[in-house]
Amino acid sequence: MSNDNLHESINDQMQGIPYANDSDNEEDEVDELKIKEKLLCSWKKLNERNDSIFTELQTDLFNHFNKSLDVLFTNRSVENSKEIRQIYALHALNHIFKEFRDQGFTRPKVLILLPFRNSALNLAEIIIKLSGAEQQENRKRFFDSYGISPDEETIDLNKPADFLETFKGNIDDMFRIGIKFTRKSIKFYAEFYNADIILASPLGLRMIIGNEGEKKHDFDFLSSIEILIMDQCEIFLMQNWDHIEYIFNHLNLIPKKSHNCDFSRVKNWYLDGKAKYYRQTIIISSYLTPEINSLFNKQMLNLAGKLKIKDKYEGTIVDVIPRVKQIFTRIESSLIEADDTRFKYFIEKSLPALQKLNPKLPYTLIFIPSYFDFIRIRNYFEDNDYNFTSICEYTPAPDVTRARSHFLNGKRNIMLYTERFYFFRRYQIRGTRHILFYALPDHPQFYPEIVNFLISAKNETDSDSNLSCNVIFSKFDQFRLERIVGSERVNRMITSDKHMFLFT
Amino acid sequence: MSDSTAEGELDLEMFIQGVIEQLCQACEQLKYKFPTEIQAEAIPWALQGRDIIGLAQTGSGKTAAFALPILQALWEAPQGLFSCILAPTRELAYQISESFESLGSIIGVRCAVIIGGMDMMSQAIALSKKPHIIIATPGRLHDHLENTKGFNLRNLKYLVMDEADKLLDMDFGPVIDKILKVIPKERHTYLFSATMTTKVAKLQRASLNNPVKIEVSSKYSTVSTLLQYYLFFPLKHKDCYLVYLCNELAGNSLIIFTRTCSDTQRLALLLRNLGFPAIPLHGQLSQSKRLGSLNKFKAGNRNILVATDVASRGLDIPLVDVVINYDIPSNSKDYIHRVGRTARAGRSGKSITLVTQYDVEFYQRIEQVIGKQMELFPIGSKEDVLLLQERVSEAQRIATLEMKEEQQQKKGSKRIRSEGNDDYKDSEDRDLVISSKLSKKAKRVRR
Repeated sequence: MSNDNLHESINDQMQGIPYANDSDNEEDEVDELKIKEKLLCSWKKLNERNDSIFTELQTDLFNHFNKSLDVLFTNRSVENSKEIRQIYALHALNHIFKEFRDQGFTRPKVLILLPFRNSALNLAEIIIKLSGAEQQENRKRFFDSYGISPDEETIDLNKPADFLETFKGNIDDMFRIGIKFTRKSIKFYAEFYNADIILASPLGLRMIIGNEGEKKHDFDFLSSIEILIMDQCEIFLMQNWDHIEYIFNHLNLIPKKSHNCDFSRVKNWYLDGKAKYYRQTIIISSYLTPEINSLFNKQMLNLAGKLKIKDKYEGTIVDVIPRVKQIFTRIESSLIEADDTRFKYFIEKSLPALQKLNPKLPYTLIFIPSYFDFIRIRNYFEDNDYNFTSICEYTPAPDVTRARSHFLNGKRNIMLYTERFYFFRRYQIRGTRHILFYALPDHPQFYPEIVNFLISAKNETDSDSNLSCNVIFSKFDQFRLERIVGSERVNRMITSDKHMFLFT
Repeated sequence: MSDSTAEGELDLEMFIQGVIEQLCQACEQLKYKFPTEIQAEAIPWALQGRDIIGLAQTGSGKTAAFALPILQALWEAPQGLFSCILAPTRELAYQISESFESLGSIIGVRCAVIIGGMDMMSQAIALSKKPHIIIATPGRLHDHLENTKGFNLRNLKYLVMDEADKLLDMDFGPVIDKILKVIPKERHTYLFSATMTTKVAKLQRASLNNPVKIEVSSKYSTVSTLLQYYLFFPLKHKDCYLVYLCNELAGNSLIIFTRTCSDTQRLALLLRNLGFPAIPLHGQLSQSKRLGSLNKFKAGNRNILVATDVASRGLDIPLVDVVINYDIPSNSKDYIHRVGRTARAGRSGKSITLVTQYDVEFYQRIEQVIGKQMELFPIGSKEDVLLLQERVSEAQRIATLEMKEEQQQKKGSKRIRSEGNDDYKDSEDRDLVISSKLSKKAKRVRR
């Protein structure tokens, strides 16, 4: 999308960082990165690039990684996901293969959180190649349980590219696996206390940690994590963010048992319970949200420092195809009252305004990102006898089909639709003529995709005037708004005296 | 300012020659004006690097007698795991560490207390930080030497056994032998005790190198500031007399020694029922309760401590005015240790031994050993005492009831716990079954 912008911003901070393209000095510069020779060798085989060892993005990221900085990278995309995964895998292995004289309480040094088994499989393939291991223990078992056979693949190839990238393959979100390295072999399914890397989904790890008071409440294996990598972090928000917070609260604590650790070799900061200040946290996300920002502020405590990389956005609104007036309305409130103010505005202003044109609100889609808001509006509509139907992430499949057809043929006028459902299914809602964004989606690409629902309706109605699109936003939606309308407009829309903004 | 330094210099002179200034300063802060006998005798030898066997009664400043030379040697050649002090009881271990910390505060000494009943993991971490001084009970120290990877005492320079005879009495012998095997032969060794048995003589052969034997007073004796009394009465009025004494001595801090744990518990309850602030201390209490009891007593919240011989050795409780021997000690050494809880460090104190018709023989033996005749404790007439009988009987009855209830609860909870344990085992088995089923299922799914 706009990698160039990104690199400009990094360049400003990172004067004098060697660039891969200057092929003369390249060898020297790579030497300076202190990558183990064996790794570098297999890296060159892995990426099969002729011109340079690293891509520009890889050079930048690896320089940050190598300085032990905490990094929050918020511009993961379908295009760069592979090179990012490769470079953090290289960093993780490079860390493990270094020979340390001193150590932590327990063996696992690297924890990588991933949303689905397909991501773990993909990363494991990179790790196998990089490690150059001659033997791979439990390889078949791993590939069997983390992949799926081609005839099991049911994904619809017409879906958007990011959907395919996320959901192709095994999308079980409950897994954890220890990987152990020896001189010439790599072993999957290593017992956690003998493992070097732990790959896990937040749910999988949460379950193995257990709850207080339970018989199996063990988190000692997280005591000595030195590098934590979270890839596809935005998907964790679509899963269950509580798990992430739970995991962070159990990282780098002094263990309950010794697990046969040699205390004379334990680093002092581990003994003093200060390990969390020496952990490197790397978060790779497609975008920034307040939740991720809070991790950055509260949980990334690395003494070496931290870095947030955020691109400027052009805005996905340019991808809207139908000619329709999109009216953005800003509401003002304090953070505490934000939810109530929005609901009140929706009931007292937005709905009546729409009803003025079409009293019964036929073919109206109300898009609601938060499940809590969804419940609130659903209850309100039920209590006030609105003619409506709804689809959320908990709706059973037959009900979804029924709701969509009732909406299309006009039996039901209003459709309530949640972001999480759209994330996991990407179902188009045909028949939509009016769209109201109760709030903007976190995923910027969803905005144009949903507005484009109107294309099919446009053919059926004779004029544009029968279509509408309304958006409610507040200053707390700044991140979302920026990604959709673009970095240049966002400040004006948040601070201006005007409350209404029109896009066509 | 100049005054105080002059005074300080005076104190320095008063104190033992050869002790470095930093430690003298610490002594001064602790208001040690002049060395006690054992300190004056032992420290010069220790500074010369000799091994020492020190015989001195409790309360005579033994701890400082070995702490000062060790701290001084540490100051000259600082290293982690420099010295290890072994003590027979957990309370004594804590107390020694407090002395080391206050004496060594100026030179920044780091101590670790390694005793049973506490969390192994946090002790392992404390040990791996390489404290200068370890104060330990032998069992737990040995446990760490065997099981805590990366911890050893191969560079130990000083070993001290406090209450050395007890360390052998209490079946610590074999453990101590094991510990001695894994610490270097090239070291300084100090043995301190109030009483000496022949076994210590054996130990002396095993681990000392040309030791100096220092004995600051005759083998079995009590200090001159201690007033020793007895009371003679029939056994059936024992509790009544005890209550009478507590009443007469109200406001003083008392330790009442009994022979058994259950007596301790019973008397504490009885006294509490009559409104005396009594707390029990015995070996059947958990470690935290033991420490809690002791701290409450030390802080003066409760001024009657009812204890078994657990509390008779080594503990320095500065405030004890009176020691009452509810049961006469069968061993005259124990008597000396018990009454050694009062009249410490030059202060005066009283001891009162309750003697019934059955205890006369023991009583006479004790008088023989201490070489003194005890005096009859002056009380009112017998009638005065027996006036209390009615209330005491009532309190006895309640105390007995409470004891029974407690025991039942304990049994009950034990039963529940043991059943719980069975459950636990069962459920574990069940879990195992389930998990094996699960894993089969899981495999099937994978296929």
